[in-house]
Amino acid sequence: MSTQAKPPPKGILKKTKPPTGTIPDEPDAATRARNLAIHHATIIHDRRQISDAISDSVIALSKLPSESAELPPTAASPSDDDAVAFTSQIRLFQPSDYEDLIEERNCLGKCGYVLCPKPRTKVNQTGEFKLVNFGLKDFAIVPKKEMERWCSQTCARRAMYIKVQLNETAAWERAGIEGIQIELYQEPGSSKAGKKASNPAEDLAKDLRSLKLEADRKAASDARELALERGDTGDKTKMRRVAVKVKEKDVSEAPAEPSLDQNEDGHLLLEGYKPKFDAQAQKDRVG
Amino acid sequence: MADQEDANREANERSIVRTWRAWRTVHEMAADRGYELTPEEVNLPLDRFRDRYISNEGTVNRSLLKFSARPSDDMMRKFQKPATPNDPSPGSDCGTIWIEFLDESTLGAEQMRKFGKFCAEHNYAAGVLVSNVAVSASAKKEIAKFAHWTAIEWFLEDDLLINITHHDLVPRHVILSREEKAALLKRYRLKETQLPRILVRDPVAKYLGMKRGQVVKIIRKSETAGRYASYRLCV
Repeated sequence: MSTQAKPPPKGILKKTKPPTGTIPDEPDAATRARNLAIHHATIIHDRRQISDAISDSVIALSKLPSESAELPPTAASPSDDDAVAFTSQIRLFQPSDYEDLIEERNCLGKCGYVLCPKPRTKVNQTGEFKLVNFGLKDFAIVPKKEMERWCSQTCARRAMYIKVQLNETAAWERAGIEGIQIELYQEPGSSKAGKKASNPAEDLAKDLRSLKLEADRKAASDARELALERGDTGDKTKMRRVAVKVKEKDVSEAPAEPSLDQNEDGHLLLEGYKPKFDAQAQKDRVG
Repeated sequence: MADQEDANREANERSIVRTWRAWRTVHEMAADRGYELTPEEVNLPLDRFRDRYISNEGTVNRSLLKFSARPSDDMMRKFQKPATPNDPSPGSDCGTIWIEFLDESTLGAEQMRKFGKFCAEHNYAAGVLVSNVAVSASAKKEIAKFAHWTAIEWFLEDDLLINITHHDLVPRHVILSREEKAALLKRYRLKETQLPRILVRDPVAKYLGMKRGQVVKIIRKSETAGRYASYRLCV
């Protein structure tokens, strides 16, 4: 009889928890999870689209300059269509994408600068490095690969002028900003440079535009930093799940000043206990 | 003048022999992976290769160097997808392979995209592109974009001049099927990550067309044990 009354023996193994991460049955939670999933999926989709667009423009730009005009375009004075295509498509590039573009053009045997119609140079020499300007002041040892990327030194300068304007931030963060404009290298002594110099008003307007853009960007980054310092980071505050309620404590009487105890031995108490040790008596006994 | 012609002919001859060796290695590779190829196709002698693929000018007509191969039944069975309740008889991971020698002197993103599109449109499960020029970084990015439809692989002709698996110091590599892998992990009570690893870009892994997560059994000769098998997870 007694054995039947006993509870079943308890296992010493760990209790298996019900699997976490499943969506609760409530319809509200399910729709919320669905919306969240769709939100993130669209973000990923948009990013993919932008990176696809970038690789499309790498292919398109590697074929420039186009051979339609009757007077052949040069790197110094490209045809307007090519220049516009280049500056508009390069906007979203990161420096690494630009490097890919240069490599792609070199693969096709062209000079790395997009608007240059010449083939790249071939260094007729085996070995990894090449001596440049031997015996002169600006002597340098340059990797052969680096030399073979361009048709000339000026093209390298033009291409690098573009590269330093590119931004390291991800393309999808810059996609909407119209203010990012890439400029071509101003050829020294070219007609364009002369035109620019004669029109100071336009220059001023452009400078102001870029200044305003810079100020906007700085304000946005400041606000972001401040928010981070305060401990709320953008989206997470919106998605906070725990409802915070401030509960006031009941106050029944007016606050009073703290006072010393009535007990005169109060200063002798150690955690509420008064030691019985009598220093004077101890001294007498030893003496 | 005569010297110039001689030099030209010699260069042509060298390029013909190189292409023939790569052509043969590619066939051996396809056969080793388990695709159906006749021994005549695999061991094509140089003179027959000349008859078939040399143009009138005496150079290799690379536009003819392309073929497809169907996987054998054994291979289909080996790479069977696991059955699920919804799909009790799933297909195989492998399918027809398309192998092509690049006809152009450059291999950029555009050529790679064209090749990927061709393989995807003709429903080839795998595509192998053999080129004699190096590939650009953006072309490599294109390969990843087609991963959903077709597995593109790219080889340099120089790397295929000899068949590395025939070398004395390269032991036999056998890819395990899903069941064999599960049995191995169960037998040794291992997790996947506890196996030794082999890189996807390892020359032999590339030769066998291994994918991330597959396990290869390496059977080597051992002085003490006769034969010794070790297993490596492809990462």
